[in-house]
Amino acid sequence: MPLDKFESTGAEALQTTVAEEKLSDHALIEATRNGDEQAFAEIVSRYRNQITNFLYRFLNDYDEAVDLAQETFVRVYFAIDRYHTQYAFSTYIYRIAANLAISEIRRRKRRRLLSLTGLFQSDDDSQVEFQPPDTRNLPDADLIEAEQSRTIAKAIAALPEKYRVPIILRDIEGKSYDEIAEIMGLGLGTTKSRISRARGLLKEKLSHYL
Amino acid sequence: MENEEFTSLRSDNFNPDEANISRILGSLKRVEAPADFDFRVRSSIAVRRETEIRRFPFPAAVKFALPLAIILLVGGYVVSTMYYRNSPVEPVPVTASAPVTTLPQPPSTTNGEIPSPSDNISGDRAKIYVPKGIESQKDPTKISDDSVKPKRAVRFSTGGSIDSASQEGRRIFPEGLDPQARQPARPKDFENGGQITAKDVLAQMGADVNISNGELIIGSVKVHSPAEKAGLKSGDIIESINDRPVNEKTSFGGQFSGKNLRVKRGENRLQIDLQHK
Repeated sequence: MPLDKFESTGAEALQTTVAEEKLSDHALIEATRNGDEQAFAEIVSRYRNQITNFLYRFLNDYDEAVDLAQETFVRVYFAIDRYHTQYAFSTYIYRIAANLAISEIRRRKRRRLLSLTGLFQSDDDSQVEFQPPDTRNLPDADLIEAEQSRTIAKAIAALPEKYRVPIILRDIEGKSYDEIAEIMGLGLGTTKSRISRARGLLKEKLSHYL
Repeated sequence: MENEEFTSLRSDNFNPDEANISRILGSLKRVEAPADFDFRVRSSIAVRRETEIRRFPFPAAVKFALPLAIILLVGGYVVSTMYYRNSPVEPVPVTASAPVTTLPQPPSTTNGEIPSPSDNISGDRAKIYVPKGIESQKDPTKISDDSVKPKRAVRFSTGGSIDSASQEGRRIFPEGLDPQARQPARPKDFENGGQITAKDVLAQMGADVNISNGELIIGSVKVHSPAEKAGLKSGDIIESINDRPVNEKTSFGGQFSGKNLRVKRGENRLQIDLQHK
């Protein structure tokens, strides 16, 4: 079974539920522009989980992800007059979320540069390296899985931004290459090569899970 | 479009490692937004809308232009007042429009008193314009500049007046011999023959000098002037300039460049280097 088909089933299911709704995204935006608060609430409920999940995978921090997801919707609300309906709304909102997440990452980096405690404390990652690896099998399968997904999440969050955004959109959010190219404002070829490179980087980090 | 889709499928499946990574990422548990997410979004929107309303009601340009205009007006007034109040030598504009040689002489009155242009003069004499500095230079019967220049009570200022001498560097020219002027005046037009006297030098540095018994004694020093920066104080006696002992007649030729001063202050003697101050 082609992997892309398998992956896109989730996205397709989502699209069918959207189609079943009475109004399209654009109609809801038009209603919001005319002051319909209910229409905006509908937009929020359609996208809140997708955006929160995307940001969570990007930042690897649930509270921060929820905060930024909220900020994304607030920005959408105040910029709704400037939104052009020639673009898909799903692309537009992901683009806002991705930009917010990238600036948040940069802010964190600055803060880390300035932090005094950073001078005396080492990172969590480097602490782990000093511990001898525990090769015993864990009794609980759930624990193993939790450990595995923690490692994967860490590996994703450690990718450079330009690789992190497309691979999350592709492999976790199930977006098409065209959509990702539009969200990132890049060409299709560049998008594909970045996703491929991101997978390569992850492969190195997660080699023992493969 | 189909073709692209096909390539993407192929590229995904071509490399089994990439496909594996893709599968692992796809199997990650999805998180959901918290239950109160909508409420929090709505309240953030409400808060932000509130702050939007509470903003300055006028356009942004007015917000900055108004205080700026007030600052400029007040600042300009203060600077100009300080500059004219403290300048010991009135700048003499020597330009083509007011040539020195063709200036009409103010007619003398019977008792020998010279009316200054600031006096209330009637008749045709009121129309004669005589620049202050030139009148004082040209007229041999003139005793001092004080009758022309209105003397203000306050000599010291605490404001931020900028001294022109300090801006133009160390070069000092005799009064009226400004090389920037379009038509340079001839040295013989001035009573000191175009020579810079020690008093001129100190006046340009911003120090008011009194002469008694041939000694040059500093009367007052202007705030922020080169003289103040050099450390001159009221009551100092200037003994030498550029290693030349000075008295009231000492002159330094047509141009002067300050190097050092020797000063007697009470019992002490000080050497002041002007080039690094």
